[in-house]
Amino acid sequence: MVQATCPDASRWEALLADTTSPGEATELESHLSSCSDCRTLLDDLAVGSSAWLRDASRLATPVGSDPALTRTLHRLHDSAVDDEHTIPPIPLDFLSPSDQPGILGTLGRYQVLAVLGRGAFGIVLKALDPDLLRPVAIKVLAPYLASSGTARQRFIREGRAAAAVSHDHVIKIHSIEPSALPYLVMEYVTGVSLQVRLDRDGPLPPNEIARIGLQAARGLEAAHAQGLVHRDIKPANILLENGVERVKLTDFGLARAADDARLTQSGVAAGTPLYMSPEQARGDSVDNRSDLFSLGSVLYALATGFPPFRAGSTMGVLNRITNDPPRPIRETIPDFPVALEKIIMQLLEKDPSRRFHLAADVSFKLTAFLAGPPQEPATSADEADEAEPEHAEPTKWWVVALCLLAAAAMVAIVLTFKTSKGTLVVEIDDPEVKVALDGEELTITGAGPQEVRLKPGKYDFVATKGGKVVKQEIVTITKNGKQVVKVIMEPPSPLPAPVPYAGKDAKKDGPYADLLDERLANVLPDANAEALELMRQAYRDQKSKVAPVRIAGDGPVVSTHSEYPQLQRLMARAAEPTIEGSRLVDSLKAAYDLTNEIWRQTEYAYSSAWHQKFSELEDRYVKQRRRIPENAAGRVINHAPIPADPDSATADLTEPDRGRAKRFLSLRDEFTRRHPETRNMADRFGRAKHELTVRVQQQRSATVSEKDVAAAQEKVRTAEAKLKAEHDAISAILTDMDKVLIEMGAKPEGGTASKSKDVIPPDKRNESPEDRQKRLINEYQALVGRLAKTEAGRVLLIAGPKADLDKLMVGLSAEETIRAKRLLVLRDQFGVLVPAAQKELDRWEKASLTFQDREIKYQAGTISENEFNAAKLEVRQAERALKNAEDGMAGVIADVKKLADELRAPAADAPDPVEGEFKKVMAEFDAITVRLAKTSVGRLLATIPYQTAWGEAELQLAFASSEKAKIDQGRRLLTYRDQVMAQAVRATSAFSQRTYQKEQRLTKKKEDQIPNIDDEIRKCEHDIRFRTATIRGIIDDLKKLADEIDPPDKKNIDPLVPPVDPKVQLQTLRDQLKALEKAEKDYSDLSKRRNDQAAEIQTMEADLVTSPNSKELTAKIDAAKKSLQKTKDDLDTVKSELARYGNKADLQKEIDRLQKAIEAKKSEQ
Amino acid sequence: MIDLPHTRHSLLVRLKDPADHTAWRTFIDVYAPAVFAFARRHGLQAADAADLTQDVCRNVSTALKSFAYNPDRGQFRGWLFTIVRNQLKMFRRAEARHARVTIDASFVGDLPDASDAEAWDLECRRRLFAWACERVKPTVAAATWQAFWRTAVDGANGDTVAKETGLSPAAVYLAKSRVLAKLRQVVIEVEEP
Repeated sequence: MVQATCPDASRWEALLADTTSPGEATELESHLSSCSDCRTLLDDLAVGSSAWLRDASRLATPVGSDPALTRTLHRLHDSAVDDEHTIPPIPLDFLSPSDQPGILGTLGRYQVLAVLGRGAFGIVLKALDPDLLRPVAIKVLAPYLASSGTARQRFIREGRAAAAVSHDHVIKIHSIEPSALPYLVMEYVTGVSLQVRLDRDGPLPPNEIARIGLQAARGLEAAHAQGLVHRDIKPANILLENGVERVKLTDFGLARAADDARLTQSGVAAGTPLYMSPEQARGDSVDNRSDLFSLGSVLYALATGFPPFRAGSTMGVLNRITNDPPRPIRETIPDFPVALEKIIMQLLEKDPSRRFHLAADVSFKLTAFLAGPPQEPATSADEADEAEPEHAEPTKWWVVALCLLAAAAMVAIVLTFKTSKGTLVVEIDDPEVKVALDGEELTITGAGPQEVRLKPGKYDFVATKGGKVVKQEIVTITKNGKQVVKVIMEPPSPLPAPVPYAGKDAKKDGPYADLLDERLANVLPDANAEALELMRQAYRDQKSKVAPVRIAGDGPVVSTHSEYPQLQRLMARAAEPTIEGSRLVDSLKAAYDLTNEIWRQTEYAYSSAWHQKFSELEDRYVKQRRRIPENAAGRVINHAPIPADPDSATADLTEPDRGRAKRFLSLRDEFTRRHPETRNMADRFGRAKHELTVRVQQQRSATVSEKDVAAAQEKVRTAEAKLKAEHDAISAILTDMDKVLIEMGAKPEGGTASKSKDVIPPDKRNESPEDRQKRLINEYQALVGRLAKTEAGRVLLIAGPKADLDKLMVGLSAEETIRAKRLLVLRDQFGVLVPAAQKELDRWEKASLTFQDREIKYQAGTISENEFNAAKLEVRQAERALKNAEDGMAGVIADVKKLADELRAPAADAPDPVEGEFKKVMAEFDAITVRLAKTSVGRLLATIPYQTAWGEAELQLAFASSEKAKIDQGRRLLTYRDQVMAQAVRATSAFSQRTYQKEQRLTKKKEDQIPNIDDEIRKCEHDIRFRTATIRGIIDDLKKLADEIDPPDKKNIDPLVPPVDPKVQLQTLRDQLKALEKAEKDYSDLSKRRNDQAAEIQTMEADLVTSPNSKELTAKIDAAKKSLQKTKDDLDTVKSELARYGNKADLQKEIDRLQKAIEAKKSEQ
Repeated sequence: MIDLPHTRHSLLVRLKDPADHTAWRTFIDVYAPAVFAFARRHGLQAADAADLTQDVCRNVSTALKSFAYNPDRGQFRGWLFTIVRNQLKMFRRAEARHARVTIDASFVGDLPDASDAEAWDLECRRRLFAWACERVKPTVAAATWQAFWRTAVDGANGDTVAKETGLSPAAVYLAKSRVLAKLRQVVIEVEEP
């Protein structure tokens, strides 16, 4: 309270502002020292409305500096749009020193000559391969990143993915060294990057731009085909190889195999943002179209000299990329070709679906641009506004100028034309006729047909005689085509009237087929019959292949394939009646290729399960090879070639080793012989399955009969049976191999670390070391939780490193104090062990990777046994160290547990009813989704995951429009699912919050806790219970829907295959029964014959004993043996046939049932 | 000096000008660590927290374009908090999309608004305070600063501090108030009180 003698506020303000006289100041100050109220007032005046500043003690917490945060702040502060500032300099001390002059050091076997540059992930060195004496570029992962297992794995993984791309326009990766400091060895290219060229020369001429863009697009095609997205296309990453100025894409440093989603969600956002795509800038997922955007930015930069989106800061650039449209090129470069600008602008579309879909499309467009002005009339909207080419060469048509490259990628190998001109053949029978093309007179050099080579296009052909026009027509010259013009005083034959495309209901090709043939023939008169058939087949294939692509089926929903719209467009173009010539060929070829690709992928999807199974067999084989023991027999086996002659290979061994080795070798050779074929078998199965779905669809549109469907089903069954048999056979071989190995003294299967994460602790067989560490940490924390409920245990939680222990332990008894002190010791121990164990884990992972790699190399013979053994040793040592560390942790935990028991800490929390209820209801939900998964409606749940936007369109894609019931069911199913998931997400949040609150209650001092923390916890539980009840309500409705979709009483109808007509089925079964009976008869006949033959041979052999030198007898016996063998083979064949038909009694039962059903139906009608 | 009319616009307004680099620097220095800390509190790994921070900053710059400054609307902090919260929600959704939603006790989800907003406020104030201290400390004498720190932050007795610093007790109190006033000046440059 302000006393009467206190100065008023204005005086204090003046004091703060230092506007008082010195005398007054002293007076005020002395008052201050005695009047606490005025001190408060002074502070209030100082902070004004920012009263919170008074609470300084609470505000001034030390802010720890997290390196991730520091890096982020640096990045955010980046005002230069260069990423160099964010990378700490990398010293070269990882190189081994070298005495040789001019060499900076050695890395592995390479001699490092210079540093070429720095990237986000490491540095690039120039080195010399001393064996091959060629220069290489080596990209080394930065040492500060190499210590992170994740970064290292990613680097190696990327290297492997990039190495799979082999293309003229992509820098070749020679090898990858997956060591502690991994590096990639790549081809070294002399030349400059596009960035340097741009800085040096400024904007490039349009043709250069198109050429560079074309080559880059081709390189991208190759990478995308491998499933790789570059993610960092920019001028600095595009090299121009000296001399030939050939484009080479490089630095797939940020490239990531598009299917690799397992690494942490937070991708490193380093890299120049200037050329990033909007989806990259937003941090969304990227696909191949992102690279196309970046390519567009690069081309833009080549055109104008600077990138399309510039700003003063990184943030600004990202902003502009996401939001601002690029400034038209022609505003900067007025006479830039419109066609090329269009291409670049399309690449720069913000919405990826509006860009080109494939790099191949870009190549096509750029090639077309380079090839010259467009010749055909606009047949679709995009071409309608293509402006007149402004760069048309003024060459005359008869100048034999070398035309620019044909769209070489598109022309099939079957066609044999090389140049891109067409031929006009002029036949004139009257020498007085003069001929002009586009107003230029054509010189007739003699009698007979004149051949003129012309650039593709339309020409105005005028024939005159005596000044009068006798013939005039527009002649179209197509690429590689031949056009014949006869000036015979006859009116020209009219073109056949265009027939509209018959549509997907056509039974066959319809009347259009003949027209197509004729047109093809006209277009390609020189094309051989093979090429024509190819084109015809392609056209037919398109129609049949595209329609079934709409079914969901067992495989992926191919109808949402990103190439499908592209395919539709190509097909539509090919179907246009006015399309002709080279465009038709190109469209068909492109559509054919695309369809094949989609087809192949779908097939693979069907057969992938089998591929996986056979791949597992391969793994088993590899594991077994590793178990070959290091004794005499083992060494022989390891060195024997494939295939090996068992006798000669094991000549140096004695029994029993020799027998075992021989057995093993023959099994091994059997395996290696049979295994490669399994891939083809799996592919055939995939194809058969796909064909089946095609037939089903075709049956729906009545283009094939039920018999065809049944035949396709049969094919699938046979293929599957074969696969199963082969799989079992190979499996049996591997089991036998295992037996032999054990006889030879190898450890039983599963005894050694085979896959990288198989360290097997004694108590938990299938736990990975990571999991084990996590489990131990959880155990420790659970114990801490228990201890927290005791007084002594609380010390554990509250005591910091410099805590005043005596003060904290004031209320404890002597015994408790001792235990508490011991707990603290244990806690500190644990705190040290955890990071140590983590380090050992990293070391072990690294050693395992090296070991795997070395093993492959050793088996291939490229490294010595010593190196291999060294890697093995390293793994063992790392395993031991890891085990020690984890045992240490377990030991501490055991001690803590003992203390907890001694302190009588209450047991772990009673089972949580709230959690139990929720889990139960979610389990019900899971059960329903699993149950529905085998129906076509249920499959929607997998293809349209939660929080994917879906609408009617998606449902209609999945089902034909006639299946209204299914569409409705699908809609309801998805809605229910979404509702359940929304509730589940919120419930999970509430769980987490409750956990957090509980933790707070345990660890924070009462004063620091939120008041009524128990109420907060109760609120959470109430929320969870509410959500659980809601979910339960939805599930009741969901169950009803599930019963609709998957009726429990009816037999499981395969939704893909329509019910077959029972009469047809009956006939099939009757046929089967007949065949079965015949097989049985054959079997008994053959058995009898075999027995007879065997008996005969026995008799003959007995005779041979009495007359051993009878040549005749010997010959007879041989012949008899041969026949016996044949009989045996036949017998085997019949046996397998019988197996195929199954049980005769079942078959008969089925036939009877069907018969009754048919008769019942008949009597109903 | 109590409540000067705001001749300088708050950070919010200045941020709208893309040429004002200083405004961005201030924003990043003050608020980015608060966002980061907020994300960490919500259980994000450092790398993910860093990403979230970047996303928030990016969204701020976009959101500013359509933002009309309204002094009645409330504080910058609150506006920023909305963005941060939404970003966190989006992050959670993306996480849920990648992995099936399972109940993992270590998965810390969204906390209810009440304590969240409080925590955010506190964090922002802490950052502002720290930032302001960095700016003000070099501008006062060492003894003055120590006087302030020891009394305002450590809560020490005026006489004790007087002995430590060699100032008179009155001077100690005055120092404290003066530094507070300076801090205040700096703080209102960034946001309205």
